[in-house]
Amino acid sequence: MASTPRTHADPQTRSLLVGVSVVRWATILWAGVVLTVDASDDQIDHPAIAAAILLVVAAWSIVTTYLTTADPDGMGSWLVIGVDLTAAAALVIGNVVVYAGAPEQSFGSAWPLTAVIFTGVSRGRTAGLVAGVSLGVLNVVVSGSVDPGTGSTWVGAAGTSVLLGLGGWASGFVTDRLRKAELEVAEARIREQFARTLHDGVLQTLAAVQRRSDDPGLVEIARNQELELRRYVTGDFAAPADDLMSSMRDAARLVERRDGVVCEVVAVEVPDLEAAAVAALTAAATEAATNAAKHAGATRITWCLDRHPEGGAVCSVRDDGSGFEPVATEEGVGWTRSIRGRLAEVGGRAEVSSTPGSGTEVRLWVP
Amino acid sequence: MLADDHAIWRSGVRADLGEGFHVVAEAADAPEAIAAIRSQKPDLALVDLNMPGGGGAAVVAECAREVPIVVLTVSEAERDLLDTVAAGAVGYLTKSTRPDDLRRALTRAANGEPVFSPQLAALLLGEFRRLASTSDNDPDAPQTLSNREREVLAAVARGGSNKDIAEELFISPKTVENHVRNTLAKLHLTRRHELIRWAIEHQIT
Repeated sequence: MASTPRTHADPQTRSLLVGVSVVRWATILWAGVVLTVDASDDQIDHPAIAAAILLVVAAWSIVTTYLTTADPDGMGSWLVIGVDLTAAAALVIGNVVVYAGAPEQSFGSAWPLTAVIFTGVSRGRTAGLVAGVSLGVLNVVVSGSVDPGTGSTWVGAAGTSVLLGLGGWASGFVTDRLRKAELEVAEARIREQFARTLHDGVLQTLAAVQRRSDDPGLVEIARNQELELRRYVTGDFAAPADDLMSSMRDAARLVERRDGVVCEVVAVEVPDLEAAAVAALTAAATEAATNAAKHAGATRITWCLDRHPEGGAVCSVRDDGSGFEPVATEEGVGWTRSIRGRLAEVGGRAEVSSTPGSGTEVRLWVP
Repeated sequence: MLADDHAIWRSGVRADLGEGFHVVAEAADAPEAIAAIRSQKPDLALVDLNMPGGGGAAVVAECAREVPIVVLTVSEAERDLLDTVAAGAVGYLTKSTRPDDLRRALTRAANGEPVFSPQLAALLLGEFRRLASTSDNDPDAPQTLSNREREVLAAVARGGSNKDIAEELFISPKTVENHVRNTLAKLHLTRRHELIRWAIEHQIT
């Protein structure tokens, strides 16, 4: 609830302060009219005092109007707020003192509300609430001292406190909200601009480095950076890894880094899977890719994901390696344990097809 | 003709292309690219998807009939790519394509063959599947993929080369190519049909 230190130079606060100034002058005008009418009706005991108070308040309003445009930060200082609230208090007291009886409409009841709103805008809802209630209590005290005993006045006076307090609190609340919304918009805008800059400049450069460099280490760094930045730009960085596509992409990156091959992830459709199935499929595909890189001299591996017609997902791992003669080859440990074993745990299966000379294709299925 | 708003990228591609290619013009945005295609009449245009002035899509929309256009992209915003291909680009390549793959793909594209990456095949398969599921109640729906075409696309998506696919399916590599080309033609048709249908449904006639 504590008011935070703030600047008044931001456009929102400025426009609110300008609004307060406008209302302020309208209330002075109104006070002038009321005063004139009341004086001609002979309801005022001390018209000179009333006029003097109103003139002082008007003079002070000139100062605050000037400060609003010339020195918004100065506007928010406790000194200015103190003087403002003092002027409001003077009006509240004057309101009671200058009239002989209870008037229909007193001249100084509107302006103090602008002071309360100003406090709320400048110093937050708590300050606005305190200022409003204080002025309201002051009103109760002075009007009570003048006209004790009549319950209706007390209720009316208490009502003023509530009104002023609420006004101060609400203006502070609205201002805080506005500021927060503006901050969020600004943040989103910066992020978007940042993303565009990254996309147009850094990402292009990283892609160029990957293509033009013969240094595999540099290519790897550039590729990792590109992927990371792209994830940041698209906001994917918070995506959970149990999503099949991102899990496969991460794994492909790992394979590329570790085995020095190009590993592409292609998807026709990406079904939703249980986390365990995602993990199993990813692990099996990784193992199949590593096999291809190690034993078949593959340089390019394609992982193709699709929905299986009978449910679950199927992933084809195809490489451009030397291939083998399936009938004549015994399955190694990698195969039995890592691929078939991993898939069997979640009820999946694997099959392999290969022709010597035109690569190997492994099909992995999980329910 | 080479169009990309990044000079560093253009010079990089130029270097990668090597002796076998002659870059007749470079452009930094879509209007420049269109003007260059019109004035230089290149055999092939390599165009970045993200450029000022409407990007690669604008160039494809304007010039796809005049020159084979290959779209280059860093991102894989899939709908955009499919739309560009549907509009008449002969294919797309990601910017991380290795130089030798780039040269090979461009040589083929210059001969009017589609540049067909596994990604594009997967996108097409998914798209036709989507169309098939939405056009059940549409008696005028244009032809869907034949089984053979679907097989070929699936094989391309899995990373098979034309030669591998031909062997697998007991057809000639030329036939594989024809199937691929047909799927693209069907994509154009279905897109047009979708547009017309949409217009009729919304009474824009």
